[in-house]
Amino acid sequence: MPMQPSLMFDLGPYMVIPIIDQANFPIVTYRNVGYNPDQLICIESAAYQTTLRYLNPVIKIDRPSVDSAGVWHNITGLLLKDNLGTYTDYNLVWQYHVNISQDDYILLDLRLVKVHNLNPLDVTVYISRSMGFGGAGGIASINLCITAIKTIYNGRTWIGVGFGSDNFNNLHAHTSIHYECISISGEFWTSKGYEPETDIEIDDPNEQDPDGPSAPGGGDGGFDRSSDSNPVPGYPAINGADAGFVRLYYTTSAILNLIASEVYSSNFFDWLAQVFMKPTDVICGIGIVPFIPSLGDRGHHKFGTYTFSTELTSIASPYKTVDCGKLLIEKYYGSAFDYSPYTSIQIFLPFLGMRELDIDEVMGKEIGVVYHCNAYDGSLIAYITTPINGVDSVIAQYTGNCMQQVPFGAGDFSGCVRAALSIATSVVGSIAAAGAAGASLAKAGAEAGKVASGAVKAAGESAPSITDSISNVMGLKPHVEKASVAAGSPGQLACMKPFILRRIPRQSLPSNYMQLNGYPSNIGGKLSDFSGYTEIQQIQLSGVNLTEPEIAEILDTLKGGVII
Amino acid sequence: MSFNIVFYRNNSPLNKINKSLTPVTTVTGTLKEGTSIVDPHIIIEGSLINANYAYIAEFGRYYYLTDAPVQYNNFWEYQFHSDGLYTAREAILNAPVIVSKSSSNYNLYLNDDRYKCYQDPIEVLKQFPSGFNHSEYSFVLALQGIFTPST
Repeated sequence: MPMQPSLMFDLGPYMVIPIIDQANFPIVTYRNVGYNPDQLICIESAAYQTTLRYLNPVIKIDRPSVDSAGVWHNITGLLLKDNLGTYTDYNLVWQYHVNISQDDYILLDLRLVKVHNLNPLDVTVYISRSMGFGGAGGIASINLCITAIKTIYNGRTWIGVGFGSDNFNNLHAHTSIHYECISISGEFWTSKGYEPETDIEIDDPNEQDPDGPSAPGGGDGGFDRSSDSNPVPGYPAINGADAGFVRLYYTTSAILNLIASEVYSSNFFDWLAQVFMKPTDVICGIGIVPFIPSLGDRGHHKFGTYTFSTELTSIASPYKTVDCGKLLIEKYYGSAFDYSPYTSIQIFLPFLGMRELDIDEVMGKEIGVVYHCNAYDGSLIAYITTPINGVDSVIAQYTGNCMQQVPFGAGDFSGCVRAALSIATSVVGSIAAAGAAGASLAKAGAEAGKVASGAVKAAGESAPSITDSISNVMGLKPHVEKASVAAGSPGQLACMKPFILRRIPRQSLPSNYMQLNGYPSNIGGKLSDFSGYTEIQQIQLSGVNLTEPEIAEILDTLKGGVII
Repeated sequence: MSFNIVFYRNNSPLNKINKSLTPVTTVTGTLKEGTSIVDPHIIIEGSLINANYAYIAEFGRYYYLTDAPVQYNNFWEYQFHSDGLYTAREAILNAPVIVSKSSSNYNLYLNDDRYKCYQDPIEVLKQFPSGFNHSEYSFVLALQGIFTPST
C-alpha cells in the first residue's frame, strides 16, 4: 500500500452542488468551524444517474481534530449506504496514526468500486480516536451532503482487497476489497505539497449559444423624430378617355333627353338598319356623379357616318378634386384623457361610411379630407391629412365609388338594380376592422384597469374601484356600427359632408383631488423642490442617525404620501 | 434613567414633514426598564391632557404620544413612538428623490390609475366645412365614336 503524506480532512456546513455531468463532478471541501473530534462525518451523495458506476469521493480533511495528546484522529472506516439502507462498508486504504499539527491536512482519494446499482449512495467516513485497528467507533453528529463527486480517473476501475477495522456498528471489513490511495488535488482545495488541478471542465450547453452570454447594451438610439411631408398626390397623366374609343360628355337631363330622342328617331334607326346595329350599341354607359367634371369643348359626336345633331359638352378631364376642408381636433382636457384609450374618434366619409381614426395621430391637429374622383367609372379615393412639417400630409386613405349607374336598356336596368343591391348588402372590411379596433380599445382599457388594481395604495386610501376607473369605463364600452357601406347609388342618398364623432370621458374629480392625491409627476430633484402632497417613488436617504426600523418606517411613509 | 421631556401639542397631520408644534411644558420622566429608544415608556408624575407630542433630547428624537395609562398614585406611564419623519426632516428634505405624485410639480399627460370617470361620456360631433353637393350632381354620358368640336 503506498504511503501517503499527512492528510487533512475538511468538514464544513452543507454545500449542495448540482450534478452537472455524471462523468465529471467538481470536488468539494468542507471546513468544519466547530468540529468535534468524535463526530461522524457522513458524506452523502445525491441522486445521480443510475448508470454511474463508480463512486470516487475525494475527501480533504483540513486541520483535523486532535485530542488532548495532540493525536489526530484517523479515518478508520468508510461506510457506503444505498437508498435501501443497505450498508456496505469499505475500509480505507490505510489505518494511519500520526501526530499531526493543525496545519497539516489529509488528502484522501478513495477508489471505490460501486457495489450497488441503486442510488443515492451515502458515504460515511468515520473519524475516531486512533486506536489502530479495531478502535472505538465515532458518533455521527453531522451530515455533509455532497451532491457532486468527482471522478478523478474517468473510466478507471479499482478493484482490490481492502483491509482495516470497521470501528463502528459492528460492521465488518471487507477484506476482499482493496483501495489504493492516490494523491489528489482539487480546485477547491489548498493542499500542502499538492498542486491543485487545473479547472475542471464542465460542459455547459449554454456556451453553445451563438449570441454568447448576456452583456450590457442599449442606449444607442438616434432619437430621430423628424417626419417627411406626404402631400396629396396629383393625377395620372392619362386616363381611359385618352384612348379615343369612348368619349365622355357632361350632360344635363335636358340634353340627355335630346340624345334619347335622337337615338330612337327614325333617322337613326334607318341608319342603324344599314349597319345591323341597335340604338344602344352606341351608348357605352350613363352615370350620375356627385360633382361637375372638368368641362371641355362643345361639339358634335360622330358614330361612323352618323353625326348627332345634339351639341354636347366634352369632359376635359375625368378627374375631379373635392376638398372638404379642415377641422381642428382640439384637446378637451389637455391631459392623458385626450388620448387613447380614453378618447376615441370616428370619421364619416361620404360614399365610404364610418372609419375609426387613431386619436393619438390627430389630437391637437387640423385634419383635412380631400377626395379624388374619377368621372370615367365613379371610383374615388378619400385622403385624410394632418400637417407635417407645415405640409398637409396623407395619414390615411380609403377607396370607394360614387357613381350611380343609369340604365339605358332592358337588360341594363336589371343589371343596375343588382349592382345597387350588392353594394347595399355587402360588408365593408374596414367597418369590421373598426369594430375590431373598438374591441382592441376595450382590451387595452381592461388591461389598464388590471394595472390599476395592482397599484401601491397610500395609507387610508381605498382600493381603486374596478367598475369606475377611467380605463375600465372607457375601454369596455361596446363598439357600435354607425354607418354601413355608402358607395354608389346608396351613397348618393347619404350625408354629403364628412363629420367626426369624438367620445370624451367625463371625469369625476373632487375639488380637493390635487391637495390630497396629487397628480402624476415622475419628476426628480430634491424633496424640498416639491410642496404640498408628495408621494415618493424613489429616494436616496443618507446621514440619518436612526435605527433601521425607523428608517424603514420613514421610507414607507414617504412612498405612501407626505405633506411638504 | 431620568431626563427632560419637552411636551408639545401637534396639530399637523401625521404625514406632514414640517410639523407645527405648540410647546406645552417640560417635565422630567423616568425610562421604564425594558423599553426601547424607538418605543420608550416613560413614567411621569401627573397627566398632560393637552400634549400629544414630545421631544427627548437624550434620545435625539421626536415622538408621538401613543398612550398614557395610569399607573398608580398619579404616576402615568407615557408610551411614545418615534417620529422619524420630523426627527430627520432636514436629511429627508435634502435627499434626492423621484416623485411619483405631487400637487406642485406634475404632468397631466401621465396616466394615473386613481382617475375616475362617469359612465356617460361626452359625445361631440363636428362637421367638415365642405363636401359634396346635391346641386352638383351631373350626368356622365359615354358614347362610342369621335368628337368633333364646334367651330
